[in-house]
Amino acid sequence: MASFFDIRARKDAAASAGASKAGGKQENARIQPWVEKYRPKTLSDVTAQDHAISVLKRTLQSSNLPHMLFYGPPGTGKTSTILALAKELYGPELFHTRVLELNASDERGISIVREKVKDFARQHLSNPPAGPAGIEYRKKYPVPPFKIIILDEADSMTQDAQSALRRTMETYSKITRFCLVCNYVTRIIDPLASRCSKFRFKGLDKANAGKRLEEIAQLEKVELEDGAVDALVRCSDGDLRKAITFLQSSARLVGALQTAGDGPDAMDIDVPRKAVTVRIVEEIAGVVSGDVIDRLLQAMQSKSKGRAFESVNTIVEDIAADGWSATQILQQLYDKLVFDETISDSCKNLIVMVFSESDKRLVDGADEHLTILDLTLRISDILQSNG
Amino acid sequence: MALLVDKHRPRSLDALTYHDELSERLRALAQNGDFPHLLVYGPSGGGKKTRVIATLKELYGPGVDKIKIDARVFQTTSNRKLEFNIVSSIYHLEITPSDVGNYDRVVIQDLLKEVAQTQQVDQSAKQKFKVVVINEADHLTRDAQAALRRTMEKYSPNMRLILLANSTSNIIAPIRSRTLLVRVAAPSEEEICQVLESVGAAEKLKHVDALNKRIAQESGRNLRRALLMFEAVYAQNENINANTLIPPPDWEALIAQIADEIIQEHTPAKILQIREKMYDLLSHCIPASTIIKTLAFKLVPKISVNLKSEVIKWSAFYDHRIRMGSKVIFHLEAFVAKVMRMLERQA
Amino acid sequence: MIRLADQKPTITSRPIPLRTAKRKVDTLIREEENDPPRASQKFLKTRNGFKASTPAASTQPSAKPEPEASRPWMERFAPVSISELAVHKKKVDDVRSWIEGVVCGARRNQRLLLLKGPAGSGKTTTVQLLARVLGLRINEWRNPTGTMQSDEGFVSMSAQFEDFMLRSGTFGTLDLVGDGSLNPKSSHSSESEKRMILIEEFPNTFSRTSPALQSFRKAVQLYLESSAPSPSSFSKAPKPATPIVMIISETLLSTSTAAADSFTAHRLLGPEILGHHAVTTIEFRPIAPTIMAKGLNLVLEKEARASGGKKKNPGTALLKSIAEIGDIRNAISTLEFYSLGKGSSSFMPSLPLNKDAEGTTDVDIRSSTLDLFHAVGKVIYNKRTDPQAAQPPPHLPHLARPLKPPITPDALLTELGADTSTFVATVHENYVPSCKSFSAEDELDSLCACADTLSDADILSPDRWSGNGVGASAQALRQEDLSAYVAIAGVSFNLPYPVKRAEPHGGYRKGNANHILYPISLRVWRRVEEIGEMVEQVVARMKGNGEWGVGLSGDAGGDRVKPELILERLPYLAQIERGRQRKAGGFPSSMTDLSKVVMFGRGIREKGGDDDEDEPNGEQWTTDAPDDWRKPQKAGWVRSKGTVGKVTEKVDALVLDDDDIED
Repeated sequence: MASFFDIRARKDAAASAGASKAGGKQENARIQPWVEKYRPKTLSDVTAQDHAISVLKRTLQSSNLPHMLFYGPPGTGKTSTILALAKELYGPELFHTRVLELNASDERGISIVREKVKDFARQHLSNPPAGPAGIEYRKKYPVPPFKIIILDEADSMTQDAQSALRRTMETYSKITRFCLVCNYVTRIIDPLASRCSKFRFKGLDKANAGKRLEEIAQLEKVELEDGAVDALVRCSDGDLRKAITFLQSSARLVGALQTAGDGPDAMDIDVPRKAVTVRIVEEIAGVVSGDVIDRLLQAMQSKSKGRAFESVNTIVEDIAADGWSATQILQQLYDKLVFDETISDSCKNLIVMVFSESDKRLVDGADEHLTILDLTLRISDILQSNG
Repeated sequence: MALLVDKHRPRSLDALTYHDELSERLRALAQNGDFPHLLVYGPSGGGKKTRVIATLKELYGPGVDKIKIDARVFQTTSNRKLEFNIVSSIYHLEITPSDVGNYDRVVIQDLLKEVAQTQQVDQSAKQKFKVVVINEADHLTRDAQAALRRTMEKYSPNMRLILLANSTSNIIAPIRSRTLLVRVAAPSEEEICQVLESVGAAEKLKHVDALNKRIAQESGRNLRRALLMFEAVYAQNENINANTLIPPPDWEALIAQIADEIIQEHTPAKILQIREKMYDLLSHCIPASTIIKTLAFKLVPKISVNLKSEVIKWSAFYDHRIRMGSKVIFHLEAFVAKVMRMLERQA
Repeated sequence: MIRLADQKPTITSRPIPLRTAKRKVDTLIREEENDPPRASQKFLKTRNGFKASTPAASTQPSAKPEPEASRPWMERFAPVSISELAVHKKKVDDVRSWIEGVVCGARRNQRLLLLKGPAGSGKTTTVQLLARVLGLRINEWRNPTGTMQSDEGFVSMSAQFEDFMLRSGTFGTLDLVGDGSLNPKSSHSSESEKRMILIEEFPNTFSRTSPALQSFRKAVQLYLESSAPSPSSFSKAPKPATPIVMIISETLLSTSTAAADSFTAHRLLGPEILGHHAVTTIEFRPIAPTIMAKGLNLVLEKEARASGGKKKNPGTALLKSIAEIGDIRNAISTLEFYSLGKGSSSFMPSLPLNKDAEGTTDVDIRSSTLDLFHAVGKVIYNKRTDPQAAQPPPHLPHLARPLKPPITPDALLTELGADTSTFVATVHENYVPSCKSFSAEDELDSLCACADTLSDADILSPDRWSGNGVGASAQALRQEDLSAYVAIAGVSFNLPYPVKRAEPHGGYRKGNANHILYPISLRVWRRVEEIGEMVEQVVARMKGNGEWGVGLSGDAGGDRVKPELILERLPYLAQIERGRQRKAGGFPSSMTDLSKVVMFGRGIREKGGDDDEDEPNGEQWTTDAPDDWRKPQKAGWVRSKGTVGKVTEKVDALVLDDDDIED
């Protein structure tokens, strides 16, 4: 351990850090997550949130802005939207001095949040440079006379912290606007929510998400096999960030396999790359391959009770040994069964009850093997007695 | 002398005998220089750790084999001192933060920060970053996982994480999306047989194919267990043949006995006897959820078809309660009572 | 395993001290030299801070009541001889023979005697009186932060021991006065006086890794190593050395949540010391009511003598309930309290002894344990009120109302002295025999329903959040009540009425089905802890021997026992070991630590005979009991001899009879 932290090492590190700065830039660009790299630059770039975008665009014209609360499932562009809005409001030069991004779940204590907000609000309002350049700048960007504070993951703040935030919002309301970003609007206390205009971000639809993914793939020169885009969208449940991350991971994996053969220097864009396949995407997303699920479903629907038990038991055992995640299995079974037209609604009713119970158990950390076995056997029973 | 399971552990990616495609992928990632954070998951005894160590070797060369164990002391906010063991080489370190229970966040934050803020000591090292292997990542508290997520973002130039977990279910989504998921499935029975055969050959043990098959079967696709069973069988018997007895571990034998007793007699007196055996198991640190699961699977083959799914149902039910409750014996006993009543009804 | 050496004394008899004026060793010793009254005066000085100005003229304590009478009874009327000692004779003999053996050389390989048992069971008094009888001088170790000023009577522990402690720096300085000798061995030979080291104060055991505790253990171990010869070198006949006696008041009652705060010999000393060959453990039990009664009578007599008055008679009922306390110190205090008031020879006339009056006595004369057992009795005997309530006509049986129990769960909870979690655990421990019914089906139904309710109750209990610091809130308390409520209501409505407790034949509890047992479930953690440490030891040893792939096996250590280790590696390792030994020609050698960790059930299967050996004649000292007194049971934790893996310490110390619950 000590060798990690000794002083000489630190000095060396400092020296080499300085030396490698120039080279490091390029390195970083490669490592930079695509999610960041392809974040929308303007409001118009934001994928498929037309309602929210059109309202927000209007605020660009007016010089005022309400406090805002963005909510919706992850990866639907909430943070991207507010960042894009801020960019359009302030332009690149003032962006850093006018916008504070706080991650509520990171800096947990309200005192820290308050301190940071205070410091930020106290700072002088930065203004565009004087003279003709400034006038030009003002023409391009509205630069309203307030700062924006973005509180990401606001729903992970405690109730107390949220109440305290209420006061902070009032104190600095003259010169700051808050934008709370969260997944669950219900976890924001009412007094806070009522101070904000709310924007709901809905999950992305397949077409939009797919289009965006293809664009990125093209820019990054990643070959996508047929169906890979579908697989990406499917595996990420409308979470575009997740989908892009999956895409990057798959590309990385494919690229790695590629270059491993040719040696690291051959890593060149011109070399024809292997395509990202559906399987790779599924593996990266941890999605259980379809035929496993199908076999399981088949076993569950077998007519004789004894046979159903034996075959379900065997398959579940294999699933457990193969290391598939139980929540994933549950999710995929659910999607299959609930959208299965051959099953009656009353039957589905019962089945969904079983799903909810099993899901709760898994969340509580119950044994995955037993829970899945129980789930499948009970569903199998329901199917048999009603089918 | 070392156990076979340790002695014959593969030390490099080449030596791994199954999941060749996976090994290939890991090798490619290691050689590529753009090594991502990994989340390696799969059942116990499937070779996750072995694979990770082999990957590290691929990354850094034999230097990772020179390890030492240090005890570090951390101080919590309430001024409690935590002692925490770290296994490290000059290139990587390995921690099990869940050892310190609810204080795992402190350890994660402090330690990883420290690691990340220093750079590789060995200037000739193949990689600029260091690797931190985190065992039992699925046992980390939510807090610790959140801390981990931040750390991953902040310090990724200097550090890569390899998380080991039995399942991804308890890993929060942000971490899952920031890591490359690597699933290590348990080896198939044939693959286990192969390993047994090669180990047996290396040890100059008599090769009995049928026995190996039985071991593979009994092990439940757990290679570590299979190797231990294999060694135990050979240590205990002079003449090995296809029908040599494979003794189960004592705890399992006791649970099997409990299962038999449940089937034979359904009375309050029996419950009391079983309760005593349960206490015996519990006091020997056998986890209650292991007890209920093993018991259920021991009961299932011995009861009629109609009851099988019932038994599974209740075992899952009480397994959940064991997780949620505090007095596990209540739930174990309720399960036993339930099964007895079912059996009695049927009789 | 706490049990160690070969010459274990029996574990059964039941100690009864008459008083436990702890840390008054010097006084006692001095009392020998001077005449008793003066000794008391001298005692007073140290105790109450009275200076020499206090007139010491009085020779009759009764004549000068102010200072003397102001002392509590348990100090004033402490036993002055072995015969007065309210500890079971056999136990005293055990201790005596050990001390004699060590000092005189018969047991020359023994060094450390561990006396453990609940508070107020007479451990200290026994040792002190024995030391006097045997002519030993007691050197007592005190934590330096103790409140009492050092007196010349207090001498440090043996210098070597002390030296070590000093160096470790965790105890601060010792009160080293008088005794200038530095080497215990030389001083021992030079002094004609034989000595004994008494340790009653211990470092904080909150954390197993606490440095104070570690160095304490180390010091003890060093002492054992340096002075005790190994059993093999028996022939060398070492000089008899100074024995150490440690007195540990183990926390008897504990809930699962309080486990961390509990104080046990195991926590204090760890497996290594407890397993050392030079260490003997003797367990004391709560004092049996019969012996307690004798002791209390003795106190009353002494009191009468002292005050010059008539012997006060508290009446059997009061005496009976006081004698049930089990803790003699507590019992005497209670007795003293009741004798207050008018100062006349009678006890408080309005003594609310009637338990039927909703149990609201002025003073909680029963310890919480007894309340606990009574409360549990109320549940598992499932009494119902007379069927006077209006019942539907016979053709509507499904509307029949269950009879009301005489006591509502709410009332029971209010009265309950113990915490609810312990209460529920005790119900669980004892509900099974109550399920006895006519048909097997009914029996199982009732059993199953009860088990279910208890499971429900546990899920409702707030314990599972205790790790997150929510534990103490009012909500948690309320929740605890709810949990107990569910348990009470559920069990009592699912038990058959009337209850016929069945003899659980073949079960691990022998004897009367009517006995209510203390829940083992609350004790299991102790055993778990022991085994856990044993596992650590085993692993450490194997790592040391290079039998273990260090690092690769992924066990970087830590407090938790890894399931992989316990479920796979160790059991098979044990099998392999056994196989190797057999092949090597020897028959499997004695139990190693390893097999202790992995083997089960020996305690269960080899039961039967063992117990009787371990518990010789539990009845012998109950014969003189007043007839309606609760029969003392074979009490305490029985550590089965030589059997490993046995969890079921039997804890039925405080059992109660059927009749007793009805009143």
